[in-house]
Amino acid sequence: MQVVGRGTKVFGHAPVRGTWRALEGPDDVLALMDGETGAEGVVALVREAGATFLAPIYHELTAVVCTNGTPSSHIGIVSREFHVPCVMAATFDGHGEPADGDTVEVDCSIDGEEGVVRA
Amino acid sequence: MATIVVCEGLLRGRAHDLAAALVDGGHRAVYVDPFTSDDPASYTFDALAAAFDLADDGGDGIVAVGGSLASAGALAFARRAPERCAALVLLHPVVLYGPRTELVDLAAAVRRHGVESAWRRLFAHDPPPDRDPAAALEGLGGDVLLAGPGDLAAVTQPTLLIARAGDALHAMDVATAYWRMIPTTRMINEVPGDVALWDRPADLAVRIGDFLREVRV
Repeated sequence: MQVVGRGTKVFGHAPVRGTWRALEGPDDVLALMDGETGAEGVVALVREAGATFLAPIYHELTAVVCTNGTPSSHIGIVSREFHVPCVMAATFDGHGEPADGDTVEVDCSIDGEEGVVRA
Repeated sequence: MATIVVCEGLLRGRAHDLAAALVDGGHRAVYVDPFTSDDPASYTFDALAAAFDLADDGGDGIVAVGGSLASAGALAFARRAPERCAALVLLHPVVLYGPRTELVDLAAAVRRHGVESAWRRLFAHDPPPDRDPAAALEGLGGDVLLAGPGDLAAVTQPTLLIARAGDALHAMDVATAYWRMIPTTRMINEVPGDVALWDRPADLAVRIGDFLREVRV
């Protein structure tokens, strides 16, 4: 796997692997909840640091990657409360964002403030 | 004696029971429900504040007690009528700076998928049986309670803040910002896993009574 995205980790955590899924709003969360596997094993990509719509599945997520906000944003605070590894203000280099269904690794174990996404 | 006005949020709490427990404890307390309309346009923070403002305080002032979205109404009341608001009790606040437009998105999803189904799944609660919760989310999601930290710093009323970690709908960052910025705040940090104070109205009434004695309201 190689690094495809970088951002600010919310807290230190060993690398985790899961299935990438972009969640654009509550409709996507409801669709995920209706699926066979739910949110277990999902690394959620969200674009807004509010993301209240993640509330019903937060405890199931493997990790969260947000393209906005800071560790003190709502989603960062909630991820810390739920011990879900989280990278904020993530940007993706030349490879672009992973596609839904890709296996990705979120690594918040690196020294310093950076968290990375590998695919 | 100040009148304690108790108001719950959209998820339906125990506000009525809390008001009764406060009365049992020797306080003057009333329960109000500002979430009775099905018109999104009628939901503004100022309209929520008006629900507190309408109470008869006999000239002794009002202690505004609000849970969840109603805590925003209590805070709006303190800013709208500072001379009438003697103290604030804010449980699990949800509104910080600027509009919370994701509430509008949630309201739209609830309407698309049906209140019965979507509300239960998105909020992990039964939908309130006699309310249109999507209307309130839609209206309040587009309104602004606080422009920035200065609006919190300007609150002069003694404030009891009750917060709880591990609640994705009521994130601690909101409560923490209130605690940091409102100059006269006491904070009760509930232990995750314990039954919430909101669901123990008799205990909550005692805590509110202790607070009011401490600040001499």
